[in-house]
Amino acid sequence: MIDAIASWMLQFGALNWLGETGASLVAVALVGITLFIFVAANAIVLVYVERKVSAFMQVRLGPMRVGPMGTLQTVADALKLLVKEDIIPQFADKVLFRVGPWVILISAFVAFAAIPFSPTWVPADMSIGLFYVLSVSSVVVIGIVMSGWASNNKWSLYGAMRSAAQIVSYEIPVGLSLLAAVAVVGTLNLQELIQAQAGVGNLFHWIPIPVPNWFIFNNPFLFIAAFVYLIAATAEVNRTPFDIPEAESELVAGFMTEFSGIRWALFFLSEYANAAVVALLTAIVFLGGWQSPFPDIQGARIGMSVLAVLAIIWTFYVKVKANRLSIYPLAVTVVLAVLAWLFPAFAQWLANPGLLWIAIKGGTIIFMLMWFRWTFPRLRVDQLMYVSWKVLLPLAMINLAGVAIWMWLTGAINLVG
Amino acid sequence: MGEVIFWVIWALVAVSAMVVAFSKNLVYSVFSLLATFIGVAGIYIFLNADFLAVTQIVIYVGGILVLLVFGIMLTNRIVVAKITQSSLQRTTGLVVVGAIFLVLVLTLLNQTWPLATSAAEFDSTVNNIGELLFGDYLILFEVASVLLLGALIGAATLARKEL
Amino acid sequence: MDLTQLALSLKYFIPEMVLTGFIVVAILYDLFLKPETSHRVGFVAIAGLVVTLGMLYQQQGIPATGIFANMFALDGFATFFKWVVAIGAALAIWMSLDTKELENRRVGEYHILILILVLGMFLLVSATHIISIYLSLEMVSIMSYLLAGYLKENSRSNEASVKYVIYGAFSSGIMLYGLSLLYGLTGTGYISEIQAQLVLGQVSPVMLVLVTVLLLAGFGYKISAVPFHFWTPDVYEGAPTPITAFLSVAPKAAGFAVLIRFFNVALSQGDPNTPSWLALPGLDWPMIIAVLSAITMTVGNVLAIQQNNIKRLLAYSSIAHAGYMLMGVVVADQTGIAAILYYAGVYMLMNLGAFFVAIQIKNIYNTETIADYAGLGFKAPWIGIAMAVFLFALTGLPPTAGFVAKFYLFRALVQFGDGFLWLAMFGLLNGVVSLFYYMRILKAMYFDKMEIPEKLTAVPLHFNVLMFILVVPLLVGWMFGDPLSIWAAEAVQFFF
Repeated sequence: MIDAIASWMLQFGALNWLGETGASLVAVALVGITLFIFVAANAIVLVYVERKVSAFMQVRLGPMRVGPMGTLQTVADALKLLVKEDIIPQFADKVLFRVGPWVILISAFVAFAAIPFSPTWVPADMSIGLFYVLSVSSVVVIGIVMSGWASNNKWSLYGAMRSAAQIVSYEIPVGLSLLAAVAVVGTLNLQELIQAQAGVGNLFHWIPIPVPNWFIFNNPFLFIAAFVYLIAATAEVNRTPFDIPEAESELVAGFMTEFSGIRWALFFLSEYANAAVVALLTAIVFLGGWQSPFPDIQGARIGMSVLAVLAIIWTFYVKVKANRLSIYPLAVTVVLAVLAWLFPAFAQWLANPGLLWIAIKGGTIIFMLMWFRWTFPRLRVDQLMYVSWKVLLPLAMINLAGVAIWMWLTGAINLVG
Repeated sequence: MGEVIFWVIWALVAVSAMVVAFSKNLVYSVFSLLATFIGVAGIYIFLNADFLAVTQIVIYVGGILVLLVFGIMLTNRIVVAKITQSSLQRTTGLVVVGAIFLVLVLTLLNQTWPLATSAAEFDSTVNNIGELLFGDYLILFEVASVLLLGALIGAATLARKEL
Repeated sequence: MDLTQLALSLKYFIPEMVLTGFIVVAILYDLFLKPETSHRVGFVAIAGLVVTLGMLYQQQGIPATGIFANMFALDGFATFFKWVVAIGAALAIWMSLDTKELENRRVGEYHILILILVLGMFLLVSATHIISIYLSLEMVSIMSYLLAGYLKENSRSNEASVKYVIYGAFSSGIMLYGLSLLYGLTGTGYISEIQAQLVLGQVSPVMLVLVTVLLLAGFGYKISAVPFHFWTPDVYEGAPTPITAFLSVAPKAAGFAVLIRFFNVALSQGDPNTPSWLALPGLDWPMIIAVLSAITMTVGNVLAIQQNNIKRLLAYSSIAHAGYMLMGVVVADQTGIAAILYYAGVYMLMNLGAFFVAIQIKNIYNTETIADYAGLGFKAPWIGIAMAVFLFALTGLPPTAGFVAKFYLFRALVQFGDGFLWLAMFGLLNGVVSLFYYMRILKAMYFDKMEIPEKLTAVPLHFNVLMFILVVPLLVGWMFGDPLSIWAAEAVQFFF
């Protein structure tokens, strides 16, 4: 990616003075800035979406005043945070108080370096991409503890310690559940992981229902692993129902208590960056990343039609059961299906792998995370540890063994070597 | 460019390691280790040891450093206690360390070191490490698992309230 | 990846696998026990050790081979130490079953940790790769830390554990640095290949001396040689007495095993199995070890004189015994190593015995102070006689096997030539010093005025049986052709 951009820049005569070193430096800077803009925009959009989703789930409107449908609300909020007075508590540790939020943000941000957004668009195509993402997200702990300690506030320190314990505990099921997928392909490279999920196959290898070859459909143990991962990862990024470190009812706001203004905005940025990383990683490892669910034009047409039919059935079901007519899903899917049948180019576009699909998949996961947040009650500290060590960890371990057995059953590996 | 980055990383490691050693405030020492560990991971990358670099971050930052932080923060009455570190017997220590340092530097410079044969092309080390770990070193992998099991049992025994 | 080669090694690994199996069984069995019945895990542990010994017996006669891609070796040398370690562990667990120190607490984990410690020592004595050496050394160390601190409400025990951890971590760190230098210098981790590289003579001698010193920090700590001995008295005093007894024999023997294997294979010329043997040119490590040996035995003996606590006294005396055994390392030829093997076996019996008497006295009179032993020889005659035998053996007086063991060591040293006669003289002088403090215990037991109140608790029968088991071999074991020394002489063969 970097090399491609650099050589592309060197093809312009005007940029030749950069030289190879300069060109690659500029390319690195370009990619970094792009990613940073993405992270910032991601936070602004997701905060808005989160507020809208929570409003929808609580049967209220959410932000409506600033901009059409309140869309500019979070932009205004961000501006407000930027211009706020910079407050550092008198007895706080000045150095660590300043550094802490940045450590968290950077460790959340650098994870994007390995995420493939499309077959060609990956900032750094690493052979150890998955492991890299896991490793840099473990640095977050240090930032959290740093911030909590520097605040010189007992709630902050409690929050930080809880958070550290939580992240360290949940790293293990996260790693083990991802390892299940790695075991199937035998690579840590995220691009290769996605490429291994191309095509269409049977559901769970033997059930004759055509589904995309994504790992979640491919192997019942990876199906379980996907959920183990999603739960554990939710806990690892400290989102509700696992947000014990910042439990308002107990700890004010945990390690964020003393932070305000721009530093607090950094926490927010990193929180949503983390959520995005989790969603993208789930999409990549278990849902085929940028792979399209449709193998070709015909597949896209049939797939969209099946979706439309399902929407019709669902609409009738809701009408009969709840006596409520929800027309939007029906309308959208039917229109899309008709378009796919009318315009082959549109169907082709749907069947192409690319940014569209990873965005849809990631968006769905993020929506699920929000759904979790606004429906589940928060866990207690001991329950949290219980879930990690006594439920998820054994499940992930058994699952890993199950994957091996499944691979042996399907003939992917043979034991006698 | 590579050379510049290398020296930057080198400086990061050296400076942060000095902070670790000389800072009077133990908390600063611990957090400064973060920079040291990440810098060392950077040096591993320069040695084409990508897997090792990432493992370094996972284990040292995600594990050891958190453990150290826990050790300090869970100390009783952390808020009032002054967490400082100091050195005893500076002169003796300096002489001994200086002598060893001298011997090491001199011999390191005069020694011909056997070098790996092919490091020219960047190739991922993951596959090789995996094959060695589950091939030649398989038994050590298993031994390590028994060791960790014993350590877990012992830690749980020492930590539980019941005698 | 050639897994079949590895699978073939499994049949040479049966004792270790059996031991691991019993560890798992013990862990599972412990889950079903209440605290007051948890000592039953000890029976599982003893059973496991007995079965393991049976499997070891099955291995007699297998020629020396490397197993698991030569990470470990199966040779007579390793097997001998495995016997010593496993028998020592079984005796230590037996001692633990009735000691008052471990009453009213859950002891399931205690026995499990001992079994894992034994497994670690099995691996340590057969390790032939620097990583396997380090890993098994850590396994032994970590289990020892945990066991030393097992009496967790007792601040002495806590102190023992913490001191042990700090010293252990530091010295193993130093050793690791030495190993990494050695790996960097030779580019290989197998100790026989390291030798092959070092023999070429391209490594500067200064570097080699530095590496040797760094390595000695790790090995010396394990065998508690001076100046790496500071942890010994405190750990031995604080740890539960059966653990002290066990730590003073088994990990020490295993430490000697790995020390000898490493120095004899990696830092020497030619095949270590041939009778004539030479250290690497430019690296006079026999002299380093000779000096270490002289200092170790002197410091141990001199400091032992002023001890009043029996456990501390035995701790310092165990330092001195490490010094004696190092005399054998100095002449690491066939006779020297055979002498060390013999000494390790005898030392296991006599030191366990002395500690065992201390446990019994502690159980009965609740004292560890030597002055309180006054009149014990007449009050409890069997214990008194047994203690006399153990102390005679530890001093090296005839007619015990302790005398024979020391005799072999000195003979090896003298046969080697004039170079190390001074060390032999040192050893003899030290023997005299040790006579003084060992006899002090006997004097208290037989010549001092009785001060012990009349409240004797009965010694359980199986304790007396155990004492008998320990005393008899010391008295008559060396007669009738001395099978142990024949075995020790045969056992000096290394996988190379």
